[in-house]
Amino acid sequence: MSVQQLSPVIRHPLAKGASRAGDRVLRALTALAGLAAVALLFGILYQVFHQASLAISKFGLGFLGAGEWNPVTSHFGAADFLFGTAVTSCFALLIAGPLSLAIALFLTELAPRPLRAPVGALVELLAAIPSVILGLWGIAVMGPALANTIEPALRSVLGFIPLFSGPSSPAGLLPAALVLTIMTVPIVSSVTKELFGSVPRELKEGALALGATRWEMVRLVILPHSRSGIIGAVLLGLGRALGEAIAVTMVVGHTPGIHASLFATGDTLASRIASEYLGATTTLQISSLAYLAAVLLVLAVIANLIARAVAGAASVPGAVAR
Amino acid sequence: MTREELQIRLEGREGHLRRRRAVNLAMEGLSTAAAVVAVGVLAIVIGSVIVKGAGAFGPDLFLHSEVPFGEKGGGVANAIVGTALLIAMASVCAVPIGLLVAIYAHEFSGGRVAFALRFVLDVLNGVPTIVTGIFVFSLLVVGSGQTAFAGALALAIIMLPIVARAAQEVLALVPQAIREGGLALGLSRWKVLLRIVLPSAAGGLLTGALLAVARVAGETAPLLFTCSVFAQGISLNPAHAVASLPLRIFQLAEGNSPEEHDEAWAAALLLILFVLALNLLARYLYARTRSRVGQ
Amino acid sequence: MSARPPTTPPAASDAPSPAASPAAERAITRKAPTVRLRGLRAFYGDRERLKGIDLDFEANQVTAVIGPSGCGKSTLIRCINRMHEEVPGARSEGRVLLDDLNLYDPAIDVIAVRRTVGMVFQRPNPFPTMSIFDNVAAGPRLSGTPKKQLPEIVERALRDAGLWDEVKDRLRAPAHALSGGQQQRLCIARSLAVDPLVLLLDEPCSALDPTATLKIEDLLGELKSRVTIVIVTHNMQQAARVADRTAFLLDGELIEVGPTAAIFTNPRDRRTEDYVTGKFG
Repeated sequence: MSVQQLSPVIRHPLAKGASRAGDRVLRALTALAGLAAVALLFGILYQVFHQASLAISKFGLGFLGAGEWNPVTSHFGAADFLFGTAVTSCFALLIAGPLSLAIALFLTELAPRPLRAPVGALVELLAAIPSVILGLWGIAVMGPALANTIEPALRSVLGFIPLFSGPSSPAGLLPAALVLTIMTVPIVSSVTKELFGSVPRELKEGALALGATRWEMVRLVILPHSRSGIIGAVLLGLGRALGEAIAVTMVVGHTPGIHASLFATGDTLASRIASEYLGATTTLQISSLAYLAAVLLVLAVIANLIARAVAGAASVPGAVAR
Repeated sequence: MTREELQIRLEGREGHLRRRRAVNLAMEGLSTAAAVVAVGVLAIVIGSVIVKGAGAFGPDLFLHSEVPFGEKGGGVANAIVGTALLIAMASVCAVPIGLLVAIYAHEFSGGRVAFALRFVLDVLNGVPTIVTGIFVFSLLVVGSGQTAFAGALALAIIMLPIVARAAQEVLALVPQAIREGGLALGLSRWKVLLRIVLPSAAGGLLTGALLAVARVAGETAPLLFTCSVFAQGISLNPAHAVASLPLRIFQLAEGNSPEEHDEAWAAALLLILFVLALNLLARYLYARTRSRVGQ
Repeated sequence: MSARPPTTPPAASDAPSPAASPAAERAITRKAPTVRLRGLRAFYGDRERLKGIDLDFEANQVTAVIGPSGCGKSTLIRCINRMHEEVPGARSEGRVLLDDLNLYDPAIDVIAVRRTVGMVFQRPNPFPTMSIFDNVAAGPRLSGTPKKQLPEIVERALRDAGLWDEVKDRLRAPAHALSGGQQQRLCIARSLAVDPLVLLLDEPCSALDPTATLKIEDLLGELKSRVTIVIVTHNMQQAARVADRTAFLLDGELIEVGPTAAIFTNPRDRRTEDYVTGKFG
């Protein structure tokens, strides 16, 4: 029951005049703020598409499939970057998804109780690391380590798959994907942690009383109960991974082109925008970059919307969990 | 069932039970491993920053600003000041508006409007920060040049949904009975809000603000186009671009000399300490508010 | 709430009277174990809920546990199938014996205990995402029962729970489509499917309407030919209808136990008499 519904009954009959005006002012002020927020969202959408309009009218939707990005000849196409974004984000989610589920299970069911709060806090701290620092660490520490140890190992064992063939370098799609994984895990795990924690106790007890082990109870009750929420959480993580520009741009290597190997360097939508926007010379180039931004924006918003639709408003993590 | 059969059954000596227990153990092991990996990565990243940044982490870092290339003794003083300026300007903008939005959504509107507002805020939250940078760039920077105003606006846009959401959560925590009590005393709605509701929600609001600040203190992308071409000295002039810590780290990291890299790590150490401290403080405040208001 | 007419007024004024003797002897088709509690104490953190209980639940009989709210009756039965220890900070001392095997012996596997001692909860809790069939089959599936035996096991359990005729044509329908009373019988079927020797029921009818309640009470009368049954209830008429023996708990202590008729018409302890005549609780 909102205050609004109660107040006609409770409001003092003598509270008129200045107080009522004060109420009206406050109401108008806050409504204005709300309107501003809505206007902001639509403003962003409009402005980005407006900036991209030159490129959109010139290239149309074919832009999305065109593979060449050449500022000199003014041929621009998003295909390489869509590829890079798709590869790094999907790879990141492929790892972050199960990892986050396991962490959420650890934090809600399987860990000894005294460990739960501290470990949970530590996992959430991962989200607090600024992306530029993760990028720095990625290119200076993780990238070389990968190129010297894991990538050769993968190549020798799985090299017959094109995914794992080809030369290694400290930069590339793989380090970018791993950096994205690190950024996505805290989000997905905190949302699923809340999900798992909200499973009714009586459902869990029903399974345990039947003689189920802890894991069987998770399998029988917790996971099915949380199915749609988990999808929402993953989509939320996808939105984050899609939009990350700085950390990716520091490790991805900036070479457009579609290669089959994970070890190759590449580029994503966000990182290409980050690296080229300021140095762009022609209006067409700027507009094409804005076109990339528009595509990125649409993808991120769609991921967000589907997450909400699938899992409800509960899928968005609370402010502290962010 | 004979006693022997019962005993065998109860002691779990039937084949299947042992396998189920093994699977259970394996799953517990896997989930523990996952947690270990996460905490391990955190430790490795922070550890790397500490180890690599400790060298150049000294008074020089704080007291000196950027020096021309080739000279020694540079620091990030200008970036520290710049970040402080940007954060302050962004907060002044985002916190009041975020609070107002939350108040409207919670106190003045019906369920549907509140839902729509929450929806808009969530979508805003999901806008990639680089796109926000482009938005502000095209609005304010095109034609006039980069300014700290533009940078702060971009940061404020990112802060807004965070502050508004936190404020909404905290307002919802304040018991309805408190509001009703105030109204029953004859106070008008805005007085009830100002004198009764907000004070009891203050802790949570502060937490939300702190978390939003912690988030944008480390953001580089929104500043890339709005506030990245700055002078080497300390500047508090919002009409020009100012240095900022995350951007400076970005520039130093992309640089070529080992000195630049060392400085990048040291600046990273500074930034991460700042962000972590803010986070822990916010967390602590939130826990305290929760326990107080929830009664 | 009884649909059967009340019988002769008892000696103790308002005490409910046993209608037809619930111990109308049905043949025992399987000798179930006797459950014995010896020195059972239960704690939630530092708070002692059960203060040393010595109590026997006779084989192949229905024993009711009655008492005012908070007396520890739920805690008591949760100690029998070792669900009590699932609550954080909870622990127990003493022995719970099935015939002469102590369920708390370190050599005993708690999973196996729960298969042998089944439990039905106060509010029906079928697995919501599963069909009727899958709900009943969940237990046997866990124990690795071969797939082809499942339909037969499920049918037998549903018949024993008195639900078969109502659901036999829609076994694949989701469990949440059933009414409250049907859901509770589904939960009973689910517990029976793993062939327990003891069945614990924690106020199983408190969320159900009178018709559903009576169906379940009739069930218990049939089930006791194969299992030992312990039912916690706050409804004394129910205890009078279904239980062979009744135990009265107060503040974590066993005050009195005996044949149901005796407890209600001729209790030995003053506190028992006060409770059954409705003076408190």
